[in-house]
Amino acid sequence: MEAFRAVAALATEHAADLDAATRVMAASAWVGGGAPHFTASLATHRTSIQSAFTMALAALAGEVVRRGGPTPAAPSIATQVSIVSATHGPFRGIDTQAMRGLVTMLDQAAERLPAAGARVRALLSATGQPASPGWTIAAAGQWSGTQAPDLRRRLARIQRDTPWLPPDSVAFDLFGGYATATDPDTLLAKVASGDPAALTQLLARRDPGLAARVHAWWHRLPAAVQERLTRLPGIGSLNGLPAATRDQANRAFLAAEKRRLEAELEQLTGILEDLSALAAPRSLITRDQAGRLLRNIAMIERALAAGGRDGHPPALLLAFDLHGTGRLVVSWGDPDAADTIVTYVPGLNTELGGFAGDIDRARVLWQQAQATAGKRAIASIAWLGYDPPQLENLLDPPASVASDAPAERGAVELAAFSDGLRATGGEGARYVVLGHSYGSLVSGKAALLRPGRLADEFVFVGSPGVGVEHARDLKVGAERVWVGEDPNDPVAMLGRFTRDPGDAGFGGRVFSAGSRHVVQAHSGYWDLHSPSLRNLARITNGQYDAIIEPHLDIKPQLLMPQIRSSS
Amino acid sequence: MFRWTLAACLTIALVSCTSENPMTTQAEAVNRVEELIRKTADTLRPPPKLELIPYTVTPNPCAFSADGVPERYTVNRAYWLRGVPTDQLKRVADQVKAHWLAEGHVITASGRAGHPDLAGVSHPDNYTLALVWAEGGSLYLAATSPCL
Repeated sequence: MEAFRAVAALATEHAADLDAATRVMAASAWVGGGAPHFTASLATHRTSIQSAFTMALAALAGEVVRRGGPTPAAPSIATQVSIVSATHGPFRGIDTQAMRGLVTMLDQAAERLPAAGARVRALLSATGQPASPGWTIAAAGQWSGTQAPDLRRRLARIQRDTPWLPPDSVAFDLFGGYATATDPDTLLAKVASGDPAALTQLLARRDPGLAARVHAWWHRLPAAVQERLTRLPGIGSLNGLPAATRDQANRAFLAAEKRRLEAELEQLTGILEDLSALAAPRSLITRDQAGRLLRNIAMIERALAAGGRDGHPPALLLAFDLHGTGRLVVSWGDPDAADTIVTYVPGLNTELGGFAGDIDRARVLWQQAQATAGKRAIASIAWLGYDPPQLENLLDPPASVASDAPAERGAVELAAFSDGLRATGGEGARYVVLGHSYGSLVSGKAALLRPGRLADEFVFVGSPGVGVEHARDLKVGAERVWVGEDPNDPVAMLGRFTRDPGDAGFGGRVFSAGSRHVVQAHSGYWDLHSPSLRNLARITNGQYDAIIEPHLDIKPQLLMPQIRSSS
Repeated sequence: MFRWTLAACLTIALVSCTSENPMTTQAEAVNRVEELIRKTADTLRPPPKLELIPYTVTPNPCAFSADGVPERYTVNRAYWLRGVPTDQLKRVADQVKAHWLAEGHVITASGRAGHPDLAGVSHPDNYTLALVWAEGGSLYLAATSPCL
């Protein structure tokens, strides 16, 4: 009986020794890195202590009863630690103080638990009971003791003057030792040593946590390694790298590709001249291809040329791929330094060769938004990061209704790109996604892949449906979902994917984006100084009260419907 | 893109599909844009100081070839109206509106509930006109030519 009371006292004193530490970890919704593994181990040890005490007390109570005594009252041992669920909204980071406290708690547990466990073992053995619960309690203490020094050392290395640590720094650096040897880590290690095949594999991955992981990995690399890696072809497209690094790497790669293609073209031209009529058809095709690729490179160079000139912000080349329908992502302004980042997702028939107009749309939106944004810095991105359907004949609807499969694939790409922006962007940065026509469907589907985390605000113009039936399904609040209406946009030709977002039943906020009052050839939502562009900028800037409203008494001057350059 | 417009023009033979001002050169358009802004600013009391917004000087492509080479441009200018007290913005907007209407321009849109924003189209040549409010209480006047 005395043994029972002694163990009961130890239980009361020690059963909750790892509770506080567990609560610290439970207070954050961990995504990625070793943190979830550490949290799981910690939780396991915490529970094991309580189970061990429970078992020890049950065994001793049984012994008491066997010796003729009354059933002793067991103290309540089991405690609950509730897990905080992930919340939406800005995530400031992990409390440095809390992390320091965690390490201290582990130290204390390391000191107290082995002794308590030894005591329990002794008490159990003395009464002829199995001593294993005592070993379990001691083991939890020993585990805590092995964790604390490593965590203390890592924490000293990453902590800053601010009271908050960036979450990916905590997840990957502080708890980096707990990550299992998964593919991305192996690939990253190989990329760090310059392995191009590993880079190719890494670039093909779309894990939600990958961009954060890349970000943490990049910042741990020595400067000399970073410098060397910017010359690894294709690395500029890796989501999670700082925007400036992506730009530097992509421009170097673009220049290298240009040199390579020019040399090939020269060679091919040489061969052609030599062989003339005997030239194999295959080399003709290759020559045409080389020519086309070089023209695309010229287009990219032209589009970037305005960057930094005449008051324009720097133009950052965040991604490009010359093959297939192509990839091209250009940001006007540095998204890592911006307060507001707006990403424009284009629609049907967009492909690399014709993307110059879209890059220009992002540029004029930058102008309109930045001019009116006061002190806040704007970055405006043109994102050709997916394969839009290429329809032969948009004017012949039955033959060419697009499926939503490209949008599904595009959504995965957009989500991964958005992860990259957030991994490297500033705290408190505001993200706006502007989807045009089919691009609005891509945007809506991407929103479902990252509930509440793709963007703070959605704007859809010329939309055939965004993949959800109600604005609130996009998980940012219906008041943050905007729908631009232009009755002249030939969207009706496409049929609908989901409910028309301009419908009252969709619940989005409709704003005027029409050019029906001013008819000009090729006019559209991005016409400079048009009410439409002004409203896009107002929404981008969060200046909802300054949205401009059309005067409805104006008649259209001409009857010609608007034909857009792309939909 | 460009060949589309051509197809549209052939099937909808209603109006001319070329520029509405086929004879306007960029130089002429710049003169017109500057005139539209300055004439407006000249009517404002107290008269503001005009400060050019630099990136608005770049002509904006409004049509591209299949290769992405810009083929047609709009000409633009925007000027900050400096020296307007922040409590006078609505008054300035009213003056701008009065002037545009007096010139025969059309007001196509305006800001809500006391916001000084205005949008218009010039008569007779359909230049886009804009009076725009910026965060911090500044106003700018802008004009843009049709696609030339």
